[in-house]
Amino acid sequence: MSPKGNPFSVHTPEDITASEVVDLFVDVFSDFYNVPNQGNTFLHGPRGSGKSMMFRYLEPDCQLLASKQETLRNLPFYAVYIPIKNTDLKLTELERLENKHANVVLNEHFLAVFIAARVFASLRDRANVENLSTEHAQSFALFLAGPLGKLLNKAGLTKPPRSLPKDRKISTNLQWCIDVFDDLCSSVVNYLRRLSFRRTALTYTGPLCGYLDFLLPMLKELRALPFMPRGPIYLLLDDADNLNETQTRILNSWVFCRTSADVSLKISTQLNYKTFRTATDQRIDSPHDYTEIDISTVYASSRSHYYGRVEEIVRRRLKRHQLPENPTEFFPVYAKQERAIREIEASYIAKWRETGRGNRPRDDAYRYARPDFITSLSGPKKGSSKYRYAGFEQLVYLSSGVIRYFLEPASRMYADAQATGDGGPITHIDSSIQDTVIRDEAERFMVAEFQKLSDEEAEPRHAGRFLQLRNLLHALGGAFHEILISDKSERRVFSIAFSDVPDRDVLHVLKLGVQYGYLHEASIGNKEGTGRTRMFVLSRRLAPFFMLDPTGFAGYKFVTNSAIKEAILRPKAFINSISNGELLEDPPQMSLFEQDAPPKSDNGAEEA
Amino acid sequence: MKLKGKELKGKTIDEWLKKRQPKDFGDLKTNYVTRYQSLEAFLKKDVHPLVSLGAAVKDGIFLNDHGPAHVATVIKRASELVSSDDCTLTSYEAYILLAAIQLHDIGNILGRSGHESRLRDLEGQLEGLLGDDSAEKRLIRTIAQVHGGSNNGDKDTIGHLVEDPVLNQIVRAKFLAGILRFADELADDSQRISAFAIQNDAIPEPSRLFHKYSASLQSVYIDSKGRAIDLHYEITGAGAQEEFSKQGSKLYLLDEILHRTLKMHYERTYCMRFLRPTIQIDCLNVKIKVFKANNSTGTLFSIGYRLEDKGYPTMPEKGIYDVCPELSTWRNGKPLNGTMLIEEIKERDG
Amino acid sequence: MPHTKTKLSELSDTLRQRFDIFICSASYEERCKSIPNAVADGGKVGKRLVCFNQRSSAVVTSNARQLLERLGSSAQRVPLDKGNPLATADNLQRALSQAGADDGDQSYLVDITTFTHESLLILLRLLQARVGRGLVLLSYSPADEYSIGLPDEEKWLSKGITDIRSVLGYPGTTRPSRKSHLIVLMGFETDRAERLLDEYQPHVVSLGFGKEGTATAAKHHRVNQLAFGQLANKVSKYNEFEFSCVDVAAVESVITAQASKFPECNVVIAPMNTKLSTVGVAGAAFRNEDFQLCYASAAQYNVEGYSRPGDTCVLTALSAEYWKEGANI
Repeated sequence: MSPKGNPFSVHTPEDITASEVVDLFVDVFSDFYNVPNQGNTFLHGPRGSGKSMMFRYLEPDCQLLASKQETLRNLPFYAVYIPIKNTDLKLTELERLENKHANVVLNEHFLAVFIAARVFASLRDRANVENLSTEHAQSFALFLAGPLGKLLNKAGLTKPPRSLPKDRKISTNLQWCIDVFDDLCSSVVNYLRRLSFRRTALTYTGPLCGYLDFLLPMLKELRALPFMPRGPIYLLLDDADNLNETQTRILNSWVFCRTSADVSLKISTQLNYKTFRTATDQRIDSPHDYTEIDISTVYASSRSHYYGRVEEIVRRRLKRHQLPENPTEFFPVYAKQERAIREIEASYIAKWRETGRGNRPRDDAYRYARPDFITSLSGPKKGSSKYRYAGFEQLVYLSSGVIRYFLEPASRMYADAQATGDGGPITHIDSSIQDTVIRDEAERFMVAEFQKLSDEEAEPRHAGRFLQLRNLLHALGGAFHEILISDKSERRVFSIAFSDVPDRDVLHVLKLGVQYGYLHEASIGNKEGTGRTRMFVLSRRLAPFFMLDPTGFAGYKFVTNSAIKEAILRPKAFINSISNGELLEDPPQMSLFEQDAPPKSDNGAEEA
Repeated sequence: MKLKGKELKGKTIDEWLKKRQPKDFGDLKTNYVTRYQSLEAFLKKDVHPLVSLGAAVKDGIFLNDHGPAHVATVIKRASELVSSDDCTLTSYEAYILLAAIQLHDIGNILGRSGHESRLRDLEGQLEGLLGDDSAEKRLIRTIAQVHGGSNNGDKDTIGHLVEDPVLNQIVRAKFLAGILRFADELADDSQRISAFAIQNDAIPEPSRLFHKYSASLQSVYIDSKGRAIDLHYEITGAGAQEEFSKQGSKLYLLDEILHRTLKMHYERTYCMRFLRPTIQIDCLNVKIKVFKANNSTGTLFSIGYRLEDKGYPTMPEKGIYDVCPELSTWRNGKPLNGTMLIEEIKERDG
Repeated sequence: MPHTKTKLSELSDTLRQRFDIFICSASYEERCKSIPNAVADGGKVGKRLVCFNQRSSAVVTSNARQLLERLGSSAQRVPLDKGNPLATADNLQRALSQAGADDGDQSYLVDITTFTHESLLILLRLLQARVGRGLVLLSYSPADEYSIGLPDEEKWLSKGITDIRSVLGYPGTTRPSRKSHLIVLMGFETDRAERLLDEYQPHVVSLGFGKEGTATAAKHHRVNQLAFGQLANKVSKYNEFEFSCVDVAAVESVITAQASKFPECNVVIAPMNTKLSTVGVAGAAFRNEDFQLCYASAAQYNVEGYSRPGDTCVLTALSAEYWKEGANI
């Protein structure tokens, strides 16, 4: 029986079962191969880019199922999922410790016992330990009484609040461990509660557990148990942006220790990680202390991989809900529009010999047909029709490398299709529904979401960075639209690269755009061919807002710092300059078609 | 109230601390002078005398003195280091440093190897004597611990110390740890030995060399103004000819002196990272006087040398791989070099 | 806890006793002046504390100045900081001490109308440590209209979130092995609530909306229902409950009951409805230390058209029972 509900609903991976995860998860580790390998890794990406799902998949219950293993021992590693919610560890009371009393030591203790509790909860919930043999259960009991007891004692917990269980059942022993560490966490919070309204230091008499003197040795001993995997333990810290600065520095200190042969730290962030300095102010760096992956950068530069991933994800979801499995048929193009574009393509192919710009007949067709079609809709004689953002390929491009930005609109489309349908099963999403939802999403992203971020000032010159960012986005989007409807040789442009060095103010605005997902950052060879320069790519989610063609390879233009300043202060004037052919320069001659080739896609189902 | 190094004038830090009043500790309510005195008294009576015994029982080694006399020497050396013109310590820092000095070697009771990190294994009355606050106790223990040993294989134990205020007090943990470590290094002189045991050949073979070494180090003089430390050794003809065993090799007393002064030089270099600019020691001046016999009045000759940072650092034998060992096994156990890079690019490019 | 409704013009006469300390908060809303104006003369209040957010718009500073002038020479300014809850707490503490609150047995009249939810919760914690046998009377001036002039479905009070944090004094109890239960007392701000859900991604979601008949005006109930509906559409799974917008004890009871439905979860509560319901949430947290309260500070407020003042006032007396600490559930 198929699951009810929307096949494109976005679920919290933490709450879904191992079999669901294994069903739905598309193996992306060839794109992010450092994640399942030994070593510390930072995984950056906006919410919904698939970080939590990757982490969930690494957990032992999923690994056992996916690799068809029966025992933990045969797994290459043991991964503990540790989600960090906003106010789990970042309690306001902790600010009372800063510059007063044991700020680092107490925060480290809090973090260490928090993680320890999750480790044992993972063994209880994700490791299928109920089926362990008596000998293995006994080894765990000995671990409790021996190494763990000693470590707790050394940390200052001379008498645990709960006495050791008498029976040797692993479930009882695990629960004892969980309770001990839950209690240790609670006692920290109780201490903090007493600090709430104090302005002077308060004596702390509880135990103190650090990484090197407690957590690491404990995990090493755990790893040595006969039922545990031979490989390292991975601590998967999800949303580490939710740590306060001190906790972030402490975590960096752990990364600095380079203990990944025993314990590897896999840390995910939403591009808002507070610092890469340690508690002793040293910097951790890639690649020697950790490897670093920015999901959106990977997919921004490797569109064919991303397309394949989304296709597979959608196929699995449709299959799970017993719906037609072909994504391109489920999300068909607007047939009338595609026919018109094919006609334009045919005319380009026909006249290539006389007036062609590209090396091959199809080059011009690919480059210009769709932009021409969009141009034809925006002239003074435009009719009531407008360009439809529909079809699986377009939707994939529009999601801009983040799976959530495909699934959420798809979920809305499905709901709208159900609402307007006759009650029967949904076999496809009409292109008009696709277009409406996508345009709505773009509008919301550019207008409504932005309004929430804006500062209260209104004057651009003195405005907060958000207002400047909004101006910049309008300037770039408008400029790219002007280029699209021009007769330039490269009309599909989504990026700018700097021909000089952007100053601090400009960089601030651009970085803000990256942080909130309006822009991606990359690098490209500079104009002179002597090195690399910064490149910023407009999110394709904004394509419908600015009437841009989101499909296929898109080019970039070189721009100066002063031009971008102009864009920030006077976006309309910037767009006018672009119309006049000023301010932007083409990159050096190269075969654009040697770069990312567009994914092959079938035509969608014909509409009635 | 702050201790000004230049005003110590031959007194020790603990003599200074014992004259402090509770108001000298600012907002802190505890009487730290009383606490220190209780700690000192307990350790002097019940612990320090047993440290060497514990090591002997556990490891079969006859340690040179790790008892009250050694602690007093470390305090004296620390006081001499602190006596520089620019050095100051708060009353609280003085307490922390002295408490750490009192504790630093007591882990030897449980065996010599790794004794630095065994503090936490010692329970009982000690816990109560260090007060109630866990962070304060941890600070003292940590400073005591980093006088040697390693942290997960990394010998830079002081470098990883976190500077965290405790009970509203700023404590320069690395600075204090540097003082303790270097003072301990300089406290290996002739006062540590049991002269009687040496004279009567009562010291077992593995430990004899260390006792003879200590016996030969006659004085340690810290010249703050000159930014130097003078080490004076004395060897007799008979002493020079005596052979010792160490880690399977045979060597003489002078070899040990050369080795130990080099170690002291490295310790100096290391600790100065955390002591500069308030305490600045740039070199060790070593003088070894050779006598014909114990009862000779004149020297046969003297040997002198200076250990200081000089010249240009020498390129290590294995080049970058000595400095960054992880590069020697960059990919699949092979070292990073131009050829490996090309191979890796080819493989990644597909 | 009984509450009474009275005309603002009759407030001073309605008050049966003199209060040692009067506390109010200046804001960009005109409502911030309603109750202070009503009690400034008449001799019913002694020392006067005027709180205001020092890092806010010029309107706030101007209104604070007006309140200080209106309340006379025994009025003292208490700067709060919407970005720094520790500074808010320290300044409130200092002001209460200077007003004699540490002596115990003082009586308080608190105009809770235009405090932020966070600073109100901090104030209540501070009062809990100081209230002896004196009476604490809360006064609240309901708005005639929120988001003036806009149709119900377009009304907005704030947009976006700059920060989500635990409220100082209500850290709850973190048991890392447990899942999370987020309880939201919905107001008008779907956006903020949605963002909270997105940030927390809790295992259990409980969404509460104001019970019909308990809102300070029927039209407010309609807007609340609309906002609730908008959010409910976006959340795949949630538990629903109703709460009183004005009855402090009833709110406490409902919250405690809702939390106890999922006893194996860490509880986080986000009070986003009326200030009176927030007082009820504080009471629940006093009795249940395990409850963490959180606050999402807004990026932008509808300063120009936030509300239009009404002409009534709701009075709620907090009993001695209210201030008691309880055992954890």
